[in-house]
Amino acid sequence: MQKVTFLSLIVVCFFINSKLFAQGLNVVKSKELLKEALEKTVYDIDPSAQAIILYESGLNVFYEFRREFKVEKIIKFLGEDGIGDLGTLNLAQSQEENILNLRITTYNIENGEIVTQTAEKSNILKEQLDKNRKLKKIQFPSIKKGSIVHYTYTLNEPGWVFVPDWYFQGDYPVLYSEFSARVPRWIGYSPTLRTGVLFKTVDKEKELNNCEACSYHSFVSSTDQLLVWVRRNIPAIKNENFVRSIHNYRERVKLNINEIKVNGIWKPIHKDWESSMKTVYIENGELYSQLNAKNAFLQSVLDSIVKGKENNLEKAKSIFNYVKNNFVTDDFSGAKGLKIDKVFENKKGTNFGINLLMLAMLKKAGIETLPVMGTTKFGEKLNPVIPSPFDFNFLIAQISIDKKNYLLDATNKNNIFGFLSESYYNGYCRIVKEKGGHLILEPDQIKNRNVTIATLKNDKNNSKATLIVERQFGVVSAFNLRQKLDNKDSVEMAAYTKEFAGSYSNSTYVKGTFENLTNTELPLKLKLEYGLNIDSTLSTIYFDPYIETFFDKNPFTEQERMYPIEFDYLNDDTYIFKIEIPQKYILDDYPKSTLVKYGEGEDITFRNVMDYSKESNTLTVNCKLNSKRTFFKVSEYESLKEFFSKVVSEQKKKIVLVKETN
Amino acid sequence: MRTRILIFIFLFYSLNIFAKEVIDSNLAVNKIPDSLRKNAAAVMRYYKSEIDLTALNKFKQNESYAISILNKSADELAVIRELYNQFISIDKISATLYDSTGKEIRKLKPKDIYDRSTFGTGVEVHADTRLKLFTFNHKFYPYTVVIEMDKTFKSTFFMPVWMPQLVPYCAVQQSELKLKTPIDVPIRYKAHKLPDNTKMNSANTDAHITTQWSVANIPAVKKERNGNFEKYTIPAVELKTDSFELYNYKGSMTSWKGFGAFFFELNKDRDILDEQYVTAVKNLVGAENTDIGKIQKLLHYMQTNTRYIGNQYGIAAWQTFEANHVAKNGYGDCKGLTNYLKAMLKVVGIHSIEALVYAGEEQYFRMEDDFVANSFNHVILCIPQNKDTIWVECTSKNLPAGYLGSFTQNRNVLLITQDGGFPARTPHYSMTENRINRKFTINLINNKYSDELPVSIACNFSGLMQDELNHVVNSKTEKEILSLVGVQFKFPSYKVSSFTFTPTEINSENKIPKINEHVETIVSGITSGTQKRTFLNLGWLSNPLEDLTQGTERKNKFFIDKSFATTDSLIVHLPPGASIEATPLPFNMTQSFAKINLEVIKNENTLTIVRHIEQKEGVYEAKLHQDYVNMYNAIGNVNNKLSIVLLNK
Repeated sequence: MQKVTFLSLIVVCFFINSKLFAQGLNVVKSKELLKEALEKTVYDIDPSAQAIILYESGLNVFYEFRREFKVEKIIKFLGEDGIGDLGTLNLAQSQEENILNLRITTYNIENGEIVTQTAEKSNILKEQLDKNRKLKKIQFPSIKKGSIVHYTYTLNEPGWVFVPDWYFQGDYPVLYSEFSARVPRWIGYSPTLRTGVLFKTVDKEKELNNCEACSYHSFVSSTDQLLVWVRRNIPAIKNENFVRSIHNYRERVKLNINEIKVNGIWKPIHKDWESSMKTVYIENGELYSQLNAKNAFLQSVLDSIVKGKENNLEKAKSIFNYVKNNFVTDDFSGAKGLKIDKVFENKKGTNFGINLLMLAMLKKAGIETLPVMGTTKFGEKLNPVIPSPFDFNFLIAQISIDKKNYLLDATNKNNIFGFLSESYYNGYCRIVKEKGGHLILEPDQIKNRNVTIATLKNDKNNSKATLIVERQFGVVSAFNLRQKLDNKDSVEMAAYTKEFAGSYSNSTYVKGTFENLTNTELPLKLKLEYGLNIDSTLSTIYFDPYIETFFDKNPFTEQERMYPIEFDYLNDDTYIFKIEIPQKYILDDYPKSTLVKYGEGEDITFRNVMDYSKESNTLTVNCKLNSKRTFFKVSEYESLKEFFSKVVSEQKKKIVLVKETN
Repeated sequence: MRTRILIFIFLFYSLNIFAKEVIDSNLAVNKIPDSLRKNAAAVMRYYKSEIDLTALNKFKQNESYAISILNKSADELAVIRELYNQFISIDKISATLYDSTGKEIRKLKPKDIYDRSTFGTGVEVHADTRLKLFTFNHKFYPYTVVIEMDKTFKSTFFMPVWMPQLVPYCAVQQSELKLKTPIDVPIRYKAHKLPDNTKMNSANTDAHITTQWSVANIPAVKKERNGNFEKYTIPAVELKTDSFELYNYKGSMTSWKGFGAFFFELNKDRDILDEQYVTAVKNLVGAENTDIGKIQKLLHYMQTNTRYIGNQYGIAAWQTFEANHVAKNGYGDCKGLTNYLKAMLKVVGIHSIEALVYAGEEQYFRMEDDFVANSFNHVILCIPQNKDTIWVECTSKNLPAGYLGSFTQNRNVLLITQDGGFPARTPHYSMTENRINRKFTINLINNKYSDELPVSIACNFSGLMQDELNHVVNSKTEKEILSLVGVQFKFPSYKVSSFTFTPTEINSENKIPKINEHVETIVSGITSGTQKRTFLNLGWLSNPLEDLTQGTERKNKFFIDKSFATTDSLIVHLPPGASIEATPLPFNMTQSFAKINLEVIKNENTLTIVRHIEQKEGVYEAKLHQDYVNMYNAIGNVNNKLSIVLLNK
């Protein structure tokens, strides 16, 4: 490893130098610019923004055993929310970390003059957050609408393999964001960018002065190279409905360190997924070794579980059921929650530990099985090219029986054999095996099939009718409902069922029962019964044929859309209502059957078929909503919104019953 | 060899200890009577609290209890989450986990207690209070934890409240509180909702008074919505001493006057501003000669130049920052900002008084006339005037002088004066002030029965009905407001073409804030057709009543916390010659708590539907609950039937 000498001196020179090209935005460098910025109240990027980040930069410098991270930020405060959110700076540091050179200045303009106030000791509160972390809480002094705050600090950290991501985008608009790194030649790296625009690589540093998104690389000494990324005018990030995880859209640059040169030879660290997985999970760590161990402690339990099971599918099902019904997830169980013997003993473990235990049992039972690791939608999607082997937040089992693959997750008793919670369908996953391999899980692979069949039958002797509604829930709906109804006692269940039944027209709720609430091998069903009074004094009845609608309101409410539309699963909804026309009334009028289609490939279709049978004097309403894909581009938003508007509108239509005249 | 044998024996002995099974059959869950299992997610098997008071600045509490957790919804009750600070130290914590049979599973190890500051757990940016946190994180039900804790308190200002049930869904087998105090330091108490079988004994010796309360067999109850209309909804005993000490300041809790005097002394002379700030205040007020004008100017100055930062560090929880500190740094907590405004008002000759209050939307009942004790969490400013009193919420950046909003309205407060404390009451906003008037105009003359119809909306929000909107309008970006406007109406689907929000001016005649809203929308899904008819569906008015539906019969009274009146007018301009088959029917319903009136007025080619709903605050008997639910549903049903049916030509 090469020694780095005089680096600090070089860094100082470099830092001053690198700021030259951004001076136009670093307003504190010039009195005129500062005054102009203090007087400015509206910014084109968002005229009603409550705060704007005028400038922010982060400089990362690698030393032999540590990293230094210098941060500079200039905030313009424009409103109450901005002051509330950004008026305090909280800096946490671990025992190994050091925060140095913290300087904070508030600028205000009073009677046309710039007033400067530097944060003093009384503005900085310190506390021991917990055993390992200290906290500095800085109140920016005298901030109000119009104020500008400038702060700088340097964070000294041990190690250099993990460089924190630099986010260009945050909760407030940013006019200028710069991330730079000074990387010695003995470190090999690969940056990954996620931005709304393409980054242009420029040859000269001064070209960074006028570009929206640019990067610049150069050698600044015989040992070091300088990498700079500049991004301008980035709007605030805002979550929208039907975005599975906003994390996947937040603009950032990530500097992956993937090799180092030792004695003239490059050693890979995390160069590609295959080698990375091998290093972290196969050759080292306890994951693979636990699976390959004899695990004799499992033998007797396993024998009793698979006893009498004739084939591998049955064996796999009973192992899956055993694990999901006897072990509970405990994310705070630490290292113990990962060790399958401890999980077995304590009957609880982490997601990884419980599914590893299931994998070990499946393997011991002679079933072909492999661990698969990925991230749920609550984390960031994995990059198929750049490895990030420490980002996984789930582990599941892939088993192969009679050439058919099944994915199993035994960490929740409401899970179904071969079905994963929709949050797991978040793109790229790695299969943990010697030869490597991957799997793609996409929401398009889940079909949530809900079926409701309702029947209205009239009492021949009076004007009363009985309404029976039978509903079968799709995999996702059933899972969510079972989760919600866990632990409800019989009184609560009765109350919930009544609430679920809601109020429909002039009906009175009679009773309701769930079927297969705890038996996940069978579909979850709900049967509801209502009594209905037909007001026979009315000459015309406008009858609502929708006891339930697919959507009560258009689910798309944004006036303008920033991000693509992502559904959690494919829809396959059916609603059938057989309405026996009440005695003494005739069906006078009903809506025409309709078909509403979205997209050239009929990606989403809504059918509403009205079928009147004279013979049985019954009108059957048959509604279906089907989708074939879950991802829609931003440009599709308006037409998608219009499609759903039509669906909502269709299910608002009524039928008209008129009293027989004779 | 001898050593080896010894080691062997020792090892054997230790292993033997580890292997020993500890079973406390009294803790077995099957010993819980069935009557206590009903509605219960947890059962307090026994609870003992012994408080030994030796002086006003010292008392010790020993708590020991066993609680059985029946299902995961009660897990939180098995967690140790103890706050401590300069006044409360935790001397000992022990905890043991037992399974359902009473077999010991494991014990707490001191290293497993997580000790942290309260940063990020509340609104206080700065506090000396820290947290000790421990949980067995057990997941197999039922289970029992036995916990013992010793604490030392350095002031009787913070006397614990004995609440045998902890929460409504916890039943109690046995719970007791024992108090030992010196004969010259009597303890006062106030009991709330104690069951009839509560036993209380008191015994005196020459030196001490010992008082003991015990209760047994309290069943769990299901929590019902809108049930908070008292200080405590489950049994509780509050304790206090006649006098107390805090930071070497002595105070009295025998009367509100004395209690207020303590706060006056603690905060005395902290409202004196340096000359530079005095000059600035005088310049700000200039030639303004009315008190209300001066107050408005200074409040506006404070609202634009300062911000709220919570501070509960040691004495700063009770003693304000000096006014000069707030003037210099531009931030303060409720005490700091209130004191700052008071200081500025003093400069211009306006006398004002700090008022202690318990703030919060449902916290109307904290300060009780007959039990003088620490019942506050906030400070507001009271400015007595010749005719009226002007109240100011100093932590808000938007509320005008003279209006408090739902956070502190309609409750007892304690005015802090140089003559001590005086109870007072904050203004109450009634149906006269709390109003919404909405007007929806739909013009079908030019648009026929197109799928997309322009709908024009004009609304006026007043009093408590505008509080939330006021905050949004004053602190959110245009994009954020647009997003909210895009979801606030219950139209099937709509686009917002334009919107404006205009607050009305506040002056001496109009102290109640009002906001005018004007929104232009393009709405889809209002018109729908069958083969012979066209329906104009107007069933998208919101229901202003609360959904208090519960699947079981109501056991307790219910509380409606505010009165209001809403009027929605739907004005539909129909094409000339339209053949109307049906219009909505008028509707009336009146109950003691609310009323609805729906009128339909046909005038040439215009059909106007006016829906007026009033709600009256109060505590209502449980038997009226179903009537309330029926009323809520009736409003929904009337809404669903709001359609105009036209015959196609």
